Amino acid sequence: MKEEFIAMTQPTLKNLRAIYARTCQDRVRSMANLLAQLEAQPADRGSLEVLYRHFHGLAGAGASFGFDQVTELGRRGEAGTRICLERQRPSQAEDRVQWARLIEAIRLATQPEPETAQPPWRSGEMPESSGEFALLDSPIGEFTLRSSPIA
Amino acid sequence: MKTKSILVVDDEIDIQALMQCALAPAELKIYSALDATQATMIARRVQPDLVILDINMPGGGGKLVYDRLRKMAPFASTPILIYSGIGRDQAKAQIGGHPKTLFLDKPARSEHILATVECMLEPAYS
Repeated sequence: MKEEFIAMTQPTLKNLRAIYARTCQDRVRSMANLLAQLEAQPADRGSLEVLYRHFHGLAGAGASFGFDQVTELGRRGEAGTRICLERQRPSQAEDRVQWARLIEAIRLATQPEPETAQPPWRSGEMPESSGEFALLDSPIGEFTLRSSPIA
Repeated sequence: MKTKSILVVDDEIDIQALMQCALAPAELKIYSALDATQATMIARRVQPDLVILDINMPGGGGKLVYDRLRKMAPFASTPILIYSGIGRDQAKAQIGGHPKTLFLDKPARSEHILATVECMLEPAYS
């Protein structure tokens, strides 16, 4: 995605928005991996810092590209991860569930438009890989955090 | 007339791309720096007419860049736009006041960014 930005000499906001949406999908995958890392090691400060930076970046740019919801979701994640960092405490299970919800909501908010629909991940990536998190709707509308691949 | 130049200092590639797009109508020469080291190096070399600076960046951040630039003679009175997501009050508290420093909260609409930059490049301001 970086190469696409660099190659664009005269980008328009419209095509920039589409590229931004794709970079968000990339970010979401990275964030899900970080969350998996934190699930295994809740006190992993490095992963937490990178996760914070992702949320911060989304909060600071989303609305500029017309994704107001991404900014709002990013802000919530930024605030949550910052609390853990500032208090130097390990992430708690409820933190991670909340962050997973936010990440999933960001993924949904930046999915490609239906008419140009492409899978939000490339074949063989996120849904199939083990250790990734996926959020599935339960019958009562609550989210359930799963660490196993989507069936 | 000499084309005016600006330096955008932000570690987010999305923001760099947004600036290229938002500022295209102003026909400026736009330089990009992704961290504090690059920022100081490029600023020295190109001596931009305006600097757009993020605060919250890894490895020292925008405050470090700001202090370094303001201490360098050519930049003592260069307009600097602090474009940050930490909130204007907090940014002002970190950076301090200066007649040639303005603050803009992230995320801003592209037309707002353009209008602010054009205003800061007016001879009356700079």
